[in-house]
Amino acid sequence: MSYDAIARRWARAIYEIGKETSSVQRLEADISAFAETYAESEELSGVLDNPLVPEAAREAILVEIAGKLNVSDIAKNTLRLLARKRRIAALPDVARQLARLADEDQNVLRAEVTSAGPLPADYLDKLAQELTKATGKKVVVSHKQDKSLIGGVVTKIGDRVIDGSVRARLDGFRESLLR
Amino acid sequence: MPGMPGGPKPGVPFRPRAPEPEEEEHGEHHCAGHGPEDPPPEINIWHGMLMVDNERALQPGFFNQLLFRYENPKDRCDPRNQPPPYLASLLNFAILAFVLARFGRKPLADALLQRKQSIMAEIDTATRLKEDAQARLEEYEDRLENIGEKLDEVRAEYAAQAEIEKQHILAEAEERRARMRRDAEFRIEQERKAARDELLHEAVANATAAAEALIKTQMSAGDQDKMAAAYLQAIGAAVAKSSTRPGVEAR
Repeated sequence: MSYDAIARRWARAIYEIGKETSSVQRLEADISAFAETYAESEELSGVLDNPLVPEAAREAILVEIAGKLNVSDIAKNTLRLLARKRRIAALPDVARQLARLADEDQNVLRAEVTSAGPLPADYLDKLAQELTKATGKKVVVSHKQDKSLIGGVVTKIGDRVIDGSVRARLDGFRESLLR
Repeated sequence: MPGMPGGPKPGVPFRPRAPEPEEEEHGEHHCAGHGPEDPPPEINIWHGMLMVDNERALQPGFFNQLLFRYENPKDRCDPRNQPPPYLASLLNFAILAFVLARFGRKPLADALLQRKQSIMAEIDTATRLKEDAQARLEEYEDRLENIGEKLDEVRAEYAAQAEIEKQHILAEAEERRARMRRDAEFRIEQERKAARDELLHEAVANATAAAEALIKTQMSAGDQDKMAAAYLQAIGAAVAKSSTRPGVEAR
């Protein structure tokens, strides 16, 4: 089930709170950490989503986990409110939207770099610098490997894809032959 | 009748002519005096007006002779036999005529009138039937006279219709043949295109697979580094162009 519309509203509200309290980064990090825990643990999501579990018990569990994650009070209250409003299932989407708003606030772009083999850290730094120069924003790069690319690098920034892989060239070669 | 020629004289019994001995002629038996060449017997005008009474008829007296006559049923050649009186026949006829005239005139006239009317009606009907029959006869004769022309017209009409039908069938068959040919050509072309596409896809798939296998076997770490370096040099321009076409920007 998609919670995009709901997540946008909640993320915008949390972002406004973070702006007021000048804690957008902390708030985003806390919400993302809890959302990651929630998404990875089926038991936790099953309990927090289960209406048969008493609300007090659910809140107690939520507070305890938030405490273990060292979540700020603002984030903890936000999570309790989400649970009371039975919107805790939208938490991963809320975290993603909040991260986007935080990145916009910090003038940050996130780039996902994929290569067939490992790339050295200095290469990723250079790539981030090139992207920062090209976009005019601070670019944060994350890297993953995909052997199906055969060779080359693919970078995804927002909706844009800069594909320099051998796989893309082979696809282009096949397309040109079929035309 | 007394005083009439051939009639008996009053007081004298009527004596018919005595029969002759029996004669045989042409195989028939005749009493004497009654043969085919004998003169006719005397007519009994008035004897025995009332009834047959042999005994009283032989007695004298006017009234006996007037009222009774002699007849021997056992011997028709008895010379005393007397035929029925002529006057009695006249009298019977007069009575009959009177009765008919008295009691039967009106019903007879009505019956005759009715009969006349029915006959006239039948005549009219017969006349009408005759006229109808005559008209039909003339019509049939007229038809018979023109039947040859009619037959020719009908034959010509049927021939024209048959020709039209023939042309129609031929045109339809030609159209169907052309359509079938077009369909067959279209199907052949489609099959040819499909086969060509299939062959092309298969050849391209084989070529790309071979190319991929060759690249995989021949690509070294140095090649990977070169490609990464080239990508790094081209990434700035590619992002600046905001192009999203894969494989173009980093070349």
